[in-house]
Amino acid sequence: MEILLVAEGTYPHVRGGVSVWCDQMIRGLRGHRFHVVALTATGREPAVYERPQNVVSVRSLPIWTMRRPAPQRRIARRPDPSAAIALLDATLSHAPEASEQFESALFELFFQARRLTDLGEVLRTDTMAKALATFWHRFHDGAPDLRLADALAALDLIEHALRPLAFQPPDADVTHTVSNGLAALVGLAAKWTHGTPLIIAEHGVYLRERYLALGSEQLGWPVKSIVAAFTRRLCETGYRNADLITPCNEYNQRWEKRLGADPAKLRTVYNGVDPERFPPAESEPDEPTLVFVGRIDPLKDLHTLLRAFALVLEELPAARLRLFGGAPPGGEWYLEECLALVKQLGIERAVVFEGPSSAVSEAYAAGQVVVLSSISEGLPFTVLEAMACGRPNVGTDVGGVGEAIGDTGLVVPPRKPSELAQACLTLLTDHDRRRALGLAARERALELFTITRAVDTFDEIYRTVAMSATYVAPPAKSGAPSQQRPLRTGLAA
Amino acid sequence: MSAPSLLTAPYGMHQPAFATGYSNVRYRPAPPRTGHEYSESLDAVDRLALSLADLCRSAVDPLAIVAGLEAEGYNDRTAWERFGLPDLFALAEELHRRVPRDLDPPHPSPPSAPTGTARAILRGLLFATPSLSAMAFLVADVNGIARVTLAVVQVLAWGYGQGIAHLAYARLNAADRPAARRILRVGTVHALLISVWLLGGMELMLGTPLTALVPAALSLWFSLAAIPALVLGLEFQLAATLGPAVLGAVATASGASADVALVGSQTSTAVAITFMLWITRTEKAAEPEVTQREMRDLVPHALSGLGIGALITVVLAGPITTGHGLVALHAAIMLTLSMGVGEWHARWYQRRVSLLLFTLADPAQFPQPATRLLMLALLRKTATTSALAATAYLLFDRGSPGAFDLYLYTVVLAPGLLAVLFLRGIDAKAALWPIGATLIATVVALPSHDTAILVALAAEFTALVAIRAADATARPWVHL
Repeated sequence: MEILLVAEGTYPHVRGGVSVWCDQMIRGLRGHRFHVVALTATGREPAVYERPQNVVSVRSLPIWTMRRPAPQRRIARRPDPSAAIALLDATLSHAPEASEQFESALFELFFQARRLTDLGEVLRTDTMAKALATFWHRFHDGAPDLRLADALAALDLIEHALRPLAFQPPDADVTHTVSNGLAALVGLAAKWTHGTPLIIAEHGVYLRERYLALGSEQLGWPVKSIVAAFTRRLCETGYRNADLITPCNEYNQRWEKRLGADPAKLRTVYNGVDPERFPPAESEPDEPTLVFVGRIDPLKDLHTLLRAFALVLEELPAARLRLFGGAPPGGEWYLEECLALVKQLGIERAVVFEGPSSAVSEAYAAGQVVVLSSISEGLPFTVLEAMACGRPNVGTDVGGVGEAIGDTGLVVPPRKPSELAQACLTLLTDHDRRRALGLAARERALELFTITRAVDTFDEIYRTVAMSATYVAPPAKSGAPSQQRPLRTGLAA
Repeated sequence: MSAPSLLTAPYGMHQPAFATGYSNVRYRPAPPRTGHEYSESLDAVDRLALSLADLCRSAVDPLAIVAGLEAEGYNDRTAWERFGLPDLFALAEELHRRVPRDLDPPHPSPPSAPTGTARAILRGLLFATPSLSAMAFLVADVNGIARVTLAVVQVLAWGYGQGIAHLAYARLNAADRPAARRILRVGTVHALLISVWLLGGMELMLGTPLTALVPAALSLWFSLAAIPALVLGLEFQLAATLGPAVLGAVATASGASADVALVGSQTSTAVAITFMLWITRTEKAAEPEVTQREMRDLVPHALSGLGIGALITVVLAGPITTGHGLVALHAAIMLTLSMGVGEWHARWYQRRVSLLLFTLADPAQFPQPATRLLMLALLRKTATTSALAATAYLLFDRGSPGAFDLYLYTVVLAPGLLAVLFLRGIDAKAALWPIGATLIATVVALPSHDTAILVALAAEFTALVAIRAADATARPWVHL
């Protein structure tokens, strides 16, 4: 089968969990041919993953270039602003039908972007700035007028976000997007062009992460509000049009259902690790040692881990904490904060920041217990890898961590150093229980969290979705092509 | 495991001028109370709202609070166990309901502080060093062909610098600083090598005396080496590299040998080149890919830079042939100073326009005051250039034949140069034909030695680019 794999800001240009997953999928699904579309910032990002043989093409779709994508066949007529106005109306409206109206407007804009004009000509106008201000006033009762700077900033962000609509997608059997949001726009373009069924995989929750990112953006509150509303409508449209949504854990389904995903279309597919790369750790270190493997990042809440370890040391003076992983570029400040906290707690002699490790399985083997103190996670590879190595986890109850660990480790509330410390002490001091949990973890990993299992699941999903997907175009207004599209009925298409 | 998004620009792509007054929103938990009474009378949700007041009052909707709560480690279980609510969504809605947002009309927040005046003026001065140095060596006693060739080399270097700077700025706007540094390094080193080749060729073919060639080469190399520092915002450090040259000049002026000034210049140039190599170093030596599209995009910038350089050089160099070299040099120094001040005027204009955008709600109300601001900026530039020209004329060249017209030419040309700066920021192509047409007309008129015609052409140039700039800046969002 021909698979259109769409990733935003990850594979094949950026290393990370999602990119690892993409690489695993492509290499594992050797019987399928992949067309990779990478949404990038500038289009100049170098690939950091070697291209597997079953990747037919890699296309970069830059979002932040100065020059906008041109329509493939420009028809000489003045840009019609009605669809863009309807999109802004539906973005800000609280009406129950607004989400469907957004989808309809998006479809009209898709048609315009492909055939008529570049959407920048439509969106960067006085008319649109006035329309946005009008809708803002209408739907934000009592709010001050939307200032021109905010309106233009919001329109600018929306224009960039809509650029994937102009993309001419290849005629694949299935579109598989690695997230909702902008990647789903490519999936929608493929669906509206060829009737290609759409699978949306989610490792985190796109909208949740955008809310968190917007919080730290240097944008005014009205701009954040408009962009968040736009993203929400976009995600709703993605979920509604997806033939299948595959979150990587059950917990994330709460968001997806909240945003209108049909529960019948939700199917959790766990990430997997290669058991051969993560063999059972043969022996334990002499000293009682806790291991952390991951980015040195605020989301990992290492402050809680360090405070918990200080409590562990009070009970178990011989204990050690080894942290494997580096700070991402721009995040070095957090490592410095952690080092300062280590000094403040007086635990320098027992804590080692090891930096990034190329032999990750050896990192897990360096301790008796693997600890994850995160405040936000999807289904972290570090937990699965530790399990494959036969090491019990102590993790925080966030995202899919509890689901992954099951009864093979201990799960504690996040941001609770004393409870985290107690769980660590329990496993460090109870040798029999620790070893039993380690064996159970390995068994659970082999049963639920292997690459083979994940790959086989998607192989089956591709075939099922391609065979059974039906397609109904959204209601369109003037200028758009016929609403009735041929149904794609399977591999023969 | 979570993926980055491209929905908001990579860091650094947006001007940080979007801060608004909405951060005035305040959490208002009914009547203010303190101490024991306060904590007892609040229920668990109120206490949570207090502890997460920043999150709640700045949230754009309840889902933003859910995202924030999850990032703080809350989940459905804690929502139920601690707050008696079915899930996190219900808890977030309750928080959103209890914490009001203050919707008082916000005061327009000024955009982030613009570059300081001193930096702006210094930047302008350093940016204009090519014209200054060009004039400096053009008064030297060299033959006509060598002089023209030196001028051409200098102007080409200026245009080339504009192109390189445009490419590097594009990378900086895409938050790709390493690539910007690499482009600046490769571009500047190539330019230096080409200039060595050209100047060496001149020496061999035209027999240009070393007394003219060496200062020319030094000033040219300094100009080229300055480009990366200017693009990367290291004006003060770049200015410091001029220290040895200044010291040498002072020593020579105080009676020391002229060689001291030459050694000072050589040292400054060497330090500037070393500084350029230092600030453009990158960890990875990978060549940044420059696409054909980018090359096409930079052409208008390079051409307009080339045209402006030629326009200034050809006129101010012209009188040298008629024996007014020193007057031309003074006028060039004056114009250079005015370009520094022009950078300050440009900052003033940008700040005022930003404030306008943050004040108005209706786009139809923008063009008129924006055009007024543009005209005011050009008038300010005219006024400051006039003051500088008058001072230079009275101090150095009163009574010199042709001096008045030459100074008048620079005064009339100066606001046009500022208008080009505004125009290029929005529509680089729009600046090309006024520059090209004026340059051709000027070259044609030059042999007549009729300075009145040159002044008229400068006035026409200024008027043309001002009209175009007014059109582009009246609704800049349409062009970008």
